[in-house]
This record gives sequence, structure tokens and C-alpha cells, in this order.
Amino acid sequence: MGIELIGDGIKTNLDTITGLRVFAPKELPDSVSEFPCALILPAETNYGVDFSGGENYIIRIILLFGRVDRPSALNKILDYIEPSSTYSVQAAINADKTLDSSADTCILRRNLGFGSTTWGGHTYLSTEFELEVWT
Amino acid sequence: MSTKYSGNCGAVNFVTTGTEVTGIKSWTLDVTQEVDETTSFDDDSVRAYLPTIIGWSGTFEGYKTGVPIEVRGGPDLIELMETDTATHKWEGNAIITGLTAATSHDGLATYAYTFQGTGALTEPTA
Repeated sequence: MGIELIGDGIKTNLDTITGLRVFAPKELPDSVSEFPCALILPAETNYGVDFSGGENYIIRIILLFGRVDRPSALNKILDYIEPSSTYSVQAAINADKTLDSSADTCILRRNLGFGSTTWGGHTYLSTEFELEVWT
Repeated sequence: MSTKYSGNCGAVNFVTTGTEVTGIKSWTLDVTQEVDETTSFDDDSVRAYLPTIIGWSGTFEGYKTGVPIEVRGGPDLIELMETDTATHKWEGNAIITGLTAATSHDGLATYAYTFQGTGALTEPTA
């Protein structure tokens, strides 16, 4: 178990969403050209959450949907925020809470709604999810 | 300068079976000295006491990592490790007297135990 394996596990779960290009932490690109795409970013690591030395992680999952000057893409975001749908991020995560055996369990905490993210010098329409993981 | 010790390498162990209770986050130990009152007219209206018996009990709690510890049975010899240094431990026979299982929609499943010590309690030697 470790942050790299967890990133790969999240990618495995999100890869079940048809048409979503997913980048694990170890393969984040300098720029993106396929949309929608998901960037998996470690945000917080808490060490020693029990005597056995378990860890707790906060992971940001950012979905990019195209250039910010194309607001028509906003409609697509809703499908990914839904608790259950073909494109639901929560459903994909909950399908295997061990994240391909890389963690003990996880909880998708929240979605932060519509927003924008700058990546590789360009600003994209985006939405962000916060995932808490325990190992 | 006095030495301080971090508690993140603590543990709760069952000595007989050589098993550590996994997922544990914290433990507490209460050692109490009971006293009997001996106040008499000789004490000039000031209460007086004498020590009688010593007792000990405690708690430990953490995440669910498997089946809970059986409440029935015992006593079992347990070690309460303060750190990962072998001499930093309390040891004695204890009976698990209580179990609280809990789960919340936004957190992890947890177990919390209470125990009652019986007989001698060995204190840390360092």
C-alpha cells in the first residue's frame, strides 16, 4: 500500500467510466488534449492514524471538460456529479472501496461544483471531488 | 532537559497468544488506591485515612480490522505498550468487561473496549 498504488487503484475504478481519460499521479501530463479527463492529485497525507502505522489520505480528483470559454460543456459535468449514473464518479469509486486492493477503504466526501482549473498554461472548465482513503 | 516519548508506536498485546490488537488508536489505564477513613475524636476535626487495596482498569479503542475481541472469558495477560521500547509497558491479567461497536455514515467502523485488571499490575521499568 502507498500513495502511488492508491493513485493506480483510483484510476482503475475511474477507468470504468466510458470515455473518461484518467491520469494517475505518476503519469500526470504536461498538457491535456482529450476531454473529459480526470487528474488524480494527492492533497494530504496523515501518518500514524493507529498504533499499527496506518495512513489516511485526502485525494483530489479533478475532471476537466474543455476550454473555459465553452460553457456548453457545463451540462456534461452534471452526469459525473450524480450519485448514480453511467458517468457517476461516486458509483465508480464505491464499486470497489479497496481501490483495486490498494487501500482498506475509502469515502468520496464531496464534490465542489462547477469551477475552473489551469493546467499546462490553459484554463479549463472543471469539477473537483474529494476522496478520503485509509490504509 | 527531560526526555519525552511519542505515543504513536504504542500497542495493546495479548501476551499468551502473542497477538497485537490491530487498528488500535489509543488506550487508557486507571490505577486507583482505595482508602478507608479512620477519622476519630483524636484527629481534631480533620479527616484521616489509611490506604487499603489497589485496583486497575482501563480502555482501548480503534478501527475495526477484523472480528471483535470476545467479551466473555479471561482473564488474559495483556501488555499496554507506551512506546516501542520493551521496558515502556504495563502488564497484568485483565478481563474484557465491555465492548462498544460504532459506525457512522461518514467514517469508519470502530471498536472500543473496557477492561478490569485482576491481580498484580507490572509497571514500566523505564
